[in-house]
Amino acid sequence: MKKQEYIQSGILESYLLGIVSEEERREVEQQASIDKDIAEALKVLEIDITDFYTKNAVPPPPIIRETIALNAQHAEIVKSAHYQQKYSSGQQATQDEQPRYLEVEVNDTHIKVHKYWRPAFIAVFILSKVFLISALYLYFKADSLTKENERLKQEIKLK
Amino acid sequence: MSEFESSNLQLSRGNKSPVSTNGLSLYDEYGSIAYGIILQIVPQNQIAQEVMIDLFDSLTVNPCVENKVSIAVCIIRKAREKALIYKEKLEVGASTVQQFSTESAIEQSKIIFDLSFRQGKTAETIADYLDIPKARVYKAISEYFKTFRHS
Repeated sequence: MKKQEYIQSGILESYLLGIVSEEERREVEQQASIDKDIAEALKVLEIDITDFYTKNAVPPPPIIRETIALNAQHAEIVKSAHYQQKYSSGQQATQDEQPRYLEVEVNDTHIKVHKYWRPAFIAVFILSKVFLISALYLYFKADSLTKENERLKQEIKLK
Repeated sequence: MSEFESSNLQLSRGNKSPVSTNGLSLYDEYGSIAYGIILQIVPQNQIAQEVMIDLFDSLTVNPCVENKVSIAVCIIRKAREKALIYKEKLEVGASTVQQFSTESAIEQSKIIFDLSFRQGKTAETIADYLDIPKARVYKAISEYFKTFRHS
């Protein structure tokens, strides 16, 4: 069959509408992949068919959108729960089943803490200084008392 | 224009790029087209709404990301498939084949299009029923769209 006859045979419209057999579908896809004119004709027909159904479009009732949104949320929750259950049981989840998380590598050396930690750190710092000074004071006092004690012992011995 | 806006624009133009999207955004873009098709196949409002919900729920799980046809055409196909499944369940598809030979060429195209797209009959079935070659069935579908284009 000549190319132009093929384009005008109606098989392309039927393919786009999904009313051809599996064998014909494969044939059209193969022809479109090797022939630019057929691929171009398909693009034009896609626009025609979309225009046709856009003109015949009917706005659906708003309740349908709400139901679809609720179902989508529910499906997401179920999927997430299913994944968590699998993950916690130590099974390796397949790539398809994994939720769409974006893995971020953190190179930042800083951490963020609650603001109440600030006075707590200041208090710990002040207390550490107080204990250090107290420790030094007691050390030197104990040292001087030891020396005094030694001196008194020698005085007693001499007497 | 940001990458996100650009991808959304491509989606609305029916671009073939594999844009990852969910059922709700597809609904916003193509819901009216799908509902129009479904009502043509299943004229009962209640059932048509069920088909719509089923269609876009399935699109949430399995969106039109195949690279062969545009998203709009993919939704047209899927809307038809879903509606035909419901129609079959309801058994409302009682044979409504009209007298073919007495109709004009335009009417013949319309009848063949109705049998294939709206009633889900295969090209072979229509060809057998109307006693015409299978190629004539496809040609009639093409003529139906040509008539629309020139009208």
